[in-house]
Amino acid sequence: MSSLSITSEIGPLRKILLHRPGEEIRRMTPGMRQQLLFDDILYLDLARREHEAFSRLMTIVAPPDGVLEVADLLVDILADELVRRRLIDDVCVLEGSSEDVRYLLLDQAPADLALRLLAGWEKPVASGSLAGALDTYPYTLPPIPNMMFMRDPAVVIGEGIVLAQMARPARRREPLLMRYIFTQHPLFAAGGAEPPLWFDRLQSEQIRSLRSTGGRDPFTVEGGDILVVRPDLLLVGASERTSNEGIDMLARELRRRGSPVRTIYAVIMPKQRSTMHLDTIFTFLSHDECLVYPPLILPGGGEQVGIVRLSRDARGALRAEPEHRSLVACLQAELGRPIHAIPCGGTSRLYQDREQWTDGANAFALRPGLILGYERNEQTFQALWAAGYQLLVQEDLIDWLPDPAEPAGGHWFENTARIAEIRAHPERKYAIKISGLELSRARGGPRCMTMPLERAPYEM
Amino acid sequence: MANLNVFTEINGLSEAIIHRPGRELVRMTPATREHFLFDDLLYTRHAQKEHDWLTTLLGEHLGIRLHEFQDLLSETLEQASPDERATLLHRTAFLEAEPQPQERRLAHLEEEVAELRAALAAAQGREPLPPLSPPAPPSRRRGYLEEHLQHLVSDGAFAGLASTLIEGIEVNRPDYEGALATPELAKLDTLEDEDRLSRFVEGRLFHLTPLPNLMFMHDVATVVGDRVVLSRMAAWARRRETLLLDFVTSTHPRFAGVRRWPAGPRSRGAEELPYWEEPELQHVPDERTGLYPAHAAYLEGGNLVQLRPDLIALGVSPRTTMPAVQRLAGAWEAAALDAGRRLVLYVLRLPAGHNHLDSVFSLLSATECVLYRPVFMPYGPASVDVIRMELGRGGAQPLRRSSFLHSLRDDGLDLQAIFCGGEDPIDQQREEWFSGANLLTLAPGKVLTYRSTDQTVAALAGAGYEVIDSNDVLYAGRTISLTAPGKWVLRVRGSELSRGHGGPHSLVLPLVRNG
Repeated sequence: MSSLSITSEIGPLRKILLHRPGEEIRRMTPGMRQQLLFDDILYLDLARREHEAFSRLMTIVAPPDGVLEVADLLVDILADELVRRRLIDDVCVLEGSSEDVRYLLLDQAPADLALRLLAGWEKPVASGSLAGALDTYPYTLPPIPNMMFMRDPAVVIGEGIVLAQMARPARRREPLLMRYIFTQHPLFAAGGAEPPLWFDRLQSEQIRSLRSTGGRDPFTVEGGDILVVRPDLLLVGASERTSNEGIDMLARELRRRGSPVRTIYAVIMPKQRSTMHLDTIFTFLSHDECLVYPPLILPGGGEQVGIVRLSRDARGALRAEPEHRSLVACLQAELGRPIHAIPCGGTSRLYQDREQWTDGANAFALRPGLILGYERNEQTFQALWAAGYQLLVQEDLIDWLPDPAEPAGGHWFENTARIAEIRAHPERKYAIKISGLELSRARGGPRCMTMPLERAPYEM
Repeated sequence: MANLNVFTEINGLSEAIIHRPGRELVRMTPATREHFLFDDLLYTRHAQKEHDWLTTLLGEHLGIRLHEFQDLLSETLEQASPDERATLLHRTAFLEAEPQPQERRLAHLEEEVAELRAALAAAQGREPLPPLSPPAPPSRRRGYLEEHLQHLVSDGAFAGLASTLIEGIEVNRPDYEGALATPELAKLDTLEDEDRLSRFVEGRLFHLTPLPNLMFMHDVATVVGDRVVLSRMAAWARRRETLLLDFVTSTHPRFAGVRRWPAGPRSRGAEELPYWEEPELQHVPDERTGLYPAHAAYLEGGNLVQLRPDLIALGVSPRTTMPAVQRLAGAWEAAALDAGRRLVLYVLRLPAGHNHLDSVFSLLSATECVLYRPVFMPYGPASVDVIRMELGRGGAQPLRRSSFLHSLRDDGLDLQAIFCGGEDPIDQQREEWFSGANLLTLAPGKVLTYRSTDQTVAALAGAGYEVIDSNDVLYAGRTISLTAPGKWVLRVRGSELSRGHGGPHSLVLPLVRNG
């Protein structure tokens, strides 16, 4: 029996995997930020504090032991000598690293190795060659600062896992680490009952065979493009990061490996950075509400996405039929009830553009109608309030109280009465404003930062 | 009132201009952020909070007299003569017109030709010849914009006009109310001119573009001695900033009698051709390189650092070009000759990627500076080109020096360098980016920086600076003083402010440093 279960976007959260930003963030330079897919570099201290608050908010619904840290799991599996060697080999092939790097990594104890796999290795000051000495590339092994966006490298669908095939070289190591965690960690692979891998292009042989194409694979799929509406129904964005070929392959593989998914709505998006994944323009809030970026999602927006329905005919052959209606209309027909679209950024195009950019449409639902969003998206919260959401500020629920006597010391305050009240009223709608001065710089919102492993079943 | 008085970067600060960011920041979108020179959008409410904390520290806790630029502008509008106001509004509308460099250049040449013909006719005692072509009428769009602004004047809505000139005017905003809702504004929204359709399809957002960079006041002007240098902004998006500061410094009583150092070419009898009239400046940046033509005179305040009353450094970059440096040097030489003094001028040609000298170098005291090491390492792969010359009687010819600090030592300024970002090359790059080398010196050895520059602060602590967190001053009753002995570094929050790539030095425009 797999310990994984995701059959909706909103069922009450039971178990989740996060990654608190670490040294990999501090190893990013302004010159490397674009290659590493950031618009700006982050101030690590504040980013970590903000992320810690974020992970504490998970426990409003999830049990305290249901919030897992990926770096911890990585250290656990690296205790095994064989796993360590295989993982290092795969990473070195994937990154095209030299033998020197391989030996450096092999020398590390599990905790140090986990750190290096995330934060990479800087280039030594003295180099063995003139080209090396004058090369401005700062790393022997680059860091993977995008790891904090746990949504993208792997996704749970039903009881199985889709391991992403990332579109950008800067992120290819992430799903590889996830593959080892899900196949090797006793939490998921106890007693030989590994969770099914619905989509997996990261076996050692495959990584090696892709070397000949410089690691390029036409079949890209990233987690931020996948929304699980119902056990049998997915939305998948055909975006800057997820290719049409990737979605076709995903549909075939889900079927071949026996997943319960029957229908996929492919959402054909503009291939641009500001809307890199489907979840940057569309997320579910409750059984009949979603948060949308109007220009791309709503009729008359000017740049509406196209919809293609992928399903099986009576003989089991894949059919792709264009739907000549909006995404919301498709969902209403599929779910048989009205779906309310709440506009990210409210009614003004100026604010819609600004707040979509800072992940206003990227809400994370802890349970139906209990959602998290960045505080800075003020007009989005205004729209949520108009839709009947009670607005809460993070500091009213939990807050870091620094200790004046000790420079880095302090403790977390928790407003237990208020939290208990939220827990006691699952019928109420709450939107929690979280602070993300640093987190939001990385073009990822609350949903991007989460990989839910288990949600209580919820009838969509 | 006290005149202007800034002879070094380090003397005790007692009066300055700042600008609290307002709606102009909200009006930046992902698509327009690069035009406005921002890498990312700012969360306006938090940027304002951070700016308010800074203002409270400087004003209430350190007793520095601060002028809010928007208030100065509003007061100036109120006190100016109708002619002065009309000229400002006309120029504002003129600058707002879409850039058409060739047409503007032609118009400028035609004006000169007409003047020459008139002069020639006068000299020959003949009737002036008719003009070559009648001047083109301004577009209706420009006309309505000017009339809308003029309408605000006739309503006496000076505060609203001041904020409009800074925050810009959005297209089709039905919620403009009260003083701001003029008939001309409605006409602008419904104007059926030739580009109405393309305006709709392209989704153009503004009738008057906002000035989100205005909070970096130090870029727009610098006080050198008792005179002011008005900047000649290279970036299209920042040109109105100087226009507004020019209006304030030429009209507001606080600046009565204040003279200027010219940084642009002489023209038709004027000591300095106003830069919005300079035809070369009507150019738009090269599409491929993003650079502006280097033969035009650009100068931004961030490139002017006064090390000592007789020692000034000027950074040269795409934002500050040699014609402006040459002109300033000429004016300083004339003044030095008059006064029988000598002035040492350093011209620092910055390596690619660095626009402002004050982003890589800050003077902390007569014995210490913070610098971004890669730029100042002699013979490094990306180091600065150092040229020293002396202005005044018997001055030395320009000469290249390999090391800025060694050369300064020969001039009697022996500076201990503290590295921005500490020793680690990656931390150095990161903290230069967070404006770690753009500290504001409040008095010798008393400096202010953003909290995100951890390693720079650690390096300062290693050099004997006491680290003070602004929260302790704002909320825990800790007192600070500019006159007490000791060195300290005050850390302020700047998560949002730092994202505009300006540090504390750029946010504050000192008028008087006489402490």
